[in-house]
Amino acid sequence: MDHKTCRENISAFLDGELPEDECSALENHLAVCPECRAELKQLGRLSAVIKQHAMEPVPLSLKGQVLGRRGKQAAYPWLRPVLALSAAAAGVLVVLNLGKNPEQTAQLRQESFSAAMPMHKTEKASPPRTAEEPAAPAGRLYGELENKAQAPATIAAARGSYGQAKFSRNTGSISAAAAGSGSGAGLSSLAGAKEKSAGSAEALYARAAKKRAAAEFRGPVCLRVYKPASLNESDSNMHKALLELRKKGTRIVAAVPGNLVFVKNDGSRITLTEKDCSYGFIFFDGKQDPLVVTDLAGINDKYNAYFQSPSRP
Amino acid sequence: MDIEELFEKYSPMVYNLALRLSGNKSDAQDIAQDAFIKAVRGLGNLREHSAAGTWLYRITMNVWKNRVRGEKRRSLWKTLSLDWGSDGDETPALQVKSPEEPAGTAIEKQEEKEALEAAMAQLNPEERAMLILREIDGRSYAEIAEITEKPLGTVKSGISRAREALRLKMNAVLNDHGS
Repeated sequence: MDHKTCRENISAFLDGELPEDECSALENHLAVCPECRAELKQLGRLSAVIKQHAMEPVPLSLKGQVLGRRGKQAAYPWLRPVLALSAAAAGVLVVLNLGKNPEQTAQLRQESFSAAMPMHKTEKASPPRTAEEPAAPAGRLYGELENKAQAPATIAAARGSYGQAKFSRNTGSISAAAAGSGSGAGLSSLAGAKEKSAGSAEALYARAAKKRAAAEFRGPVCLRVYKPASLNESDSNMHKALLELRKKGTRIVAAVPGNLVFVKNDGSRITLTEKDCSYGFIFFDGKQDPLVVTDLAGINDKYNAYFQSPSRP
Repeated sequence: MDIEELFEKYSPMVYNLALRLSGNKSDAQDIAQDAFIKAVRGLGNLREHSAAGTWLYRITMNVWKNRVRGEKRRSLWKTLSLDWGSDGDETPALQVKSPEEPAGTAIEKQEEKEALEAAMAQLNPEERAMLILREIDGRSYAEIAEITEKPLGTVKSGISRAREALRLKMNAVLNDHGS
């Protein structure tokens, strides 16, 4: 792939949106072009900055404005009083016509005036269906780009930890960005905002934060769980394991320690908390339970053993 | 899925999409509110809950487009800058710093944020929208094409152009803070 074409496609490469053959051609070019490698590194860094800073907290009043209108909304709001009036009129007519049978009249009166009551959306929402396929968490480049040792390692580092969604997407991507994973933006900044009704607003956002805290993954996926103390921190063991897995063409999804929910193919869910895994890799094929690997030595063998396990249903 | 679930799950992205399209918080709140109200009306027609996000973001885009047409702005792509002012009776959200975070890092982050906002303001609204749908919500190019009602090639080139523009404008910040 020539230099010009590489530059035109480097953004799509970062997003995993290039066809395989173009991907390979671009990687071959990156191996010999320091300028394109530097640009890829910068784009990776830019991605991390956007994820960290681009989300603004939702205004407190918006929820009230939207949900406050919920009970009053109807698809055709003008129709409701017309129908209510019609039902009431029908009820009156029925009562008048059946005046000779008091019992029947009473029953029909009850039914008619029940029908004339204002229509409310009282039915419960249908059982939750399959959640939208969660997006891969936007992995931040935890110091990997600081390794200037070898071109292939830099390419893999810049792209892989940003690696997306051929496997799965998680609903936690928004929370990971908005909550800032330590940056303090989003929900924690909302908690710090001045509120008219502090108790209820805080409870509201605590509940929303709890709901958004879990990131969901479907198989097959290889998750890298790692939260450095700072953006400049670089863990050599983690980096080495990452390179080993990437040499095999494995796509890695980065995640921060927290509630990680693995959704099996049969719909059952397994949640791993920070106590289960705060550092390491998690392999998940959708059929078996996820495997937590915290000892990174021989990571490739462990990967093969899990994904090629004969015990796979 | 009821409106409360829809709001809890999608309001951050709907609001921020509206913000990046309109360029100011007041319009963003109006757009987000209108989008949810339209969504409520159409909820019964939503066949696949798995597509709720794509559907809702498309509604948000259409609400914005209608506002732009309705307001008859002089130029669709004029430079917009985010309004950082007070939201009336709401105190602007404060950036809460981790207690362990050294002061230098906080300053760097503030510089990054300011540089990002200044650079984002130079992009056209739809490119901003495509970029955050990709970067924040992890949407594929095909999904972004569906949401923005643009061809796939336009999405690919739009995101590429947006990133290149930001990269060039933020070159100093990206190099200083990344090294």
